[in-house]
Amino acid sequence: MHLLGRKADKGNDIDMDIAKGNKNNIFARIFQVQWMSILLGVVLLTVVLSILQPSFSSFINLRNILVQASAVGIMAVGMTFVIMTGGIDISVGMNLFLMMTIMSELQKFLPPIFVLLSAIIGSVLVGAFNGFLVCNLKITPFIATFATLSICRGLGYWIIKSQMRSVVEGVRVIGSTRLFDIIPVPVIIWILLCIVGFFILSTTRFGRYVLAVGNSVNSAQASGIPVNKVKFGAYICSALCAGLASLVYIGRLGTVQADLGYGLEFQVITAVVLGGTKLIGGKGTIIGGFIGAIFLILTENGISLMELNIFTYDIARGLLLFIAVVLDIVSYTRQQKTLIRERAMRLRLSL
Amino acid sequence: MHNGLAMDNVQPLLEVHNISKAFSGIKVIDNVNIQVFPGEIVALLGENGAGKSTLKNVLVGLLEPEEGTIIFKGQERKKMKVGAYKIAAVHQELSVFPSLTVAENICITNLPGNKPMIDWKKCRETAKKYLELIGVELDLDTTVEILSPGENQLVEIAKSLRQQPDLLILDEPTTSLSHPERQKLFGVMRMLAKQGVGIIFITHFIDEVYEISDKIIVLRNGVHVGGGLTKETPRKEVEQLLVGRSLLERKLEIPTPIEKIALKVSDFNSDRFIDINFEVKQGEILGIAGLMGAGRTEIIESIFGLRKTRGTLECLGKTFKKWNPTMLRDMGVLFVPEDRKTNGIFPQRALRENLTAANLKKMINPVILGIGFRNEKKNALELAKAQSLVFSNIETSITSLSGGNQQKAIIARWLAIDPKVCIFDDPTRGVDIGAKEAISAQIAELARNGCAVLLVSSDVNELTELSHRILILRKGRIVSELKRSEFDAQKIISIASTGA
Repeated sequence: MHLLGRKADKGNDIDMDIAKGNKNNIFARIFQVQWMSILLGVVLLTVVLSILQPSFSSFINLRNILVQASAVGIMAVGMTFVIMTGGIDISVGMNLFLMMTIMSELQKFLPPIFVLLSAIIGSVLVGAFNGFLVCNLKITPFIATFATLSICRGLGYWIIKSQMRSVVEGVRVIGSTRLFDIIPVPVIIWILLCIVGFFILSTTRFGRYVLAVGNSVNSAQASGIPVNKVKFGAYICSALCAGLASLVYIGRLGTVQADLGYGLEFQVITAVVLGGTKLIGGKGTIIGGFIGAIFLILTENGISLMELNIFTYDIARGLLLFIAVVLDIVSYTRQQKTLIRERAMRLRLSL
Repeated sequence: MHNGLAMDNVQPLLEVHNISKAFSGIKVIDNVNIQVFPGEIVALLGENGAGKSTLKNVLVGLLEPEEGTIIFKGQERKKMKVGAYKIAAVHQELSVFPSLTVAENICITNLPGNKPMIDWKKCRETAKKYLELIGVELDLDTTVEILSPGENQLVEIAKSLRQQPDLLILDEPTTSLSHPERQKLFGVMRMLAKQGVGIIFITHFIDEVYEISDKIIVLRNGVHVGGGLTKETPRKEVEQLLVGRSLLERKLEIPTPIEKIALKVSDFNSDRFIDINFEVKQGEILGIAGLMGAGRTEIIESIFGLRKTRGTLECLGKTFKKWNPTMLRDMGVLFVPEDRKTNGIFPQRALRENLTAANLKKMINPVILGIGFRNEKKNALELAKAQSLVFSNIETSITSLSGGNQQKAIIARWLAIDPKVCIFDDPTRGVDIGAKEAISAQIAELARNGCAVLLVSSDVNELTELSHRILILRKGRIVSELKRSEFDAQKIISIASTGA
């Protein structure tokens, strides 16, 4: 509003701005990109951490960070779809946990490849259940996926009891191997998923429909967009990503026990929101979630570097989620202001 | 014009037989029968709440009718499905997607390209083609959220044309359009009709009906009350059908204002209006005219502090740089919002609570400090009686009342604050003629008691009848001010739509 006021006194400037479409102001344009601030955060943290600990910026360590971030990052891809439709999926952490317990059980009877496949199929089924609750029974996404979360946790505990099971080498293959002995497979999966997700969002009907539904369900219905199918699809995406992440996780850890995946969903949501995806839906990027996930791991690295109390992690995560949501609101109001300014300029020019 | 087509040997494009639809037991459309032939432009008329939009929603498949059948292109259907048949609609409540681009919005119903991929180049070409058809230049890659209401409407129209429908339903498509844009749209409609497209044109403007339509259908309270071929139906008859009885020429007595300024607006600016300055004296009724999207509602919402604005407000001797609705209410400013359903009533609450909501302090005597609702019912009943509301029980939900009674209840709620400045935003929209007269009389009465009244209305006759002065808005600017002696409904409409 104040910008409008300042410019209103010099009408010619506004005309100039509009004529150039504000396009030559590179700085302004760069900072309109939703994930720019979080990228800055990542760069800053990296610089600080490398100063504090010289070995931080070694190749091995940076690669480790990518591996650590991969599970959350993979789930963030799917979560981005759900959040873009205006929903939320808090069952991903327990979906992952359930799949890991199922794999630990099935590895006794099945060859590894089928064990991995069953985790994928199982996770999709969980996603379908979420989709059914949200789309067919019209339950609020938070409550619906909360119910799923609880069910998954219960089933997982039931399967695993209180044992700690080790996992056979074949099942660990995805999480623990490296391509050409250099690039870890989880990172490859993560990056591939990001690319696929990016293409789905920007070039396919489903991707555009996801955006449209997040913008306005009513408009989507009036335009003949299959709203329920689109939402259903988003929950499937999210669950499928949780399934893939469980393959990564089980490989990295090598054991399955109760309490795995606890609180993971909030890390995923934090990563997505930090990356600039709007919680009300309708706007967001895959790359944002990617950078958000790295940012999360970097902060945890920082904490471990400072040798702080173990409970600090949870506090830090909570604070980050809080900051992410506040940023979401701040950037929303800022965007609204820009919009108002642009509309005001258009109005002044129209006659 | 194309009535030659509508002969016995031509099969109707659309036949609607005995369609009924009810919401919570109240029939919104009742046994409606209509026929649309290929190449025919049918004007669907009716006051707000007559069931036009409901009928449209049934035809496009957004609502399922309770009874009756729809025959489209010879195929009988119990229920339509959105997008399944070649029926396209421009919805009054715009159905654009704010964060999608212009091109995406136009093509969204059927994105080009081989499934599942989208051919963006083709998408933009298609969008451009249809925008050119209606003579609009818009940047295809801007997101729709920054467009003006008129531009939004044009995008919406392009979107509906893009669907290449056999039946096109336009629900008040011209409200935000300028005169040339309107003419362009009519040109396109005529061209489509020549190609055999059937068009249902829902509108409020009777002039437009006579300009473009072949057939008239009038709905009142959900019932198809009459109509016929446009050239055989005189205007007077349509007007009578619309309101249900002949319009009486009546003159309301309006008082002479007191030379004391009650409300002064200086240099109001925002994204919806520019440099707004005016003042209202005590006992004066200032009318504000303008098409939808001209900034009427935005201006008066800003005055009441509901929107962010730059500017100064002087109200009853106090000058504000910053203000909010509570401050104004406490000074005695009454505000009746435009959209009764979403901004006016508390739909889930009882009539009693709706009546006392604006001034609980005065309407309720607590048993002990802050606790208890003594006398609320009594006071509410008194208010209701003073406004001669028609209701069965004061404890039932306000939504069980008719639109007119709901509106009267909202005004009654505000009368409890003993108003000195009254702001009305389209107070008679969607209310029956009886309530309309009562509300007009109430407004005149308030002015007689020394209130300064700011009246926004889409009904030009209401403005000319009640106001001392009328400001005419166009694209967010005050383009003209008329004194009572200069009032002329035609002139006001033409200034509002073309600026001259």
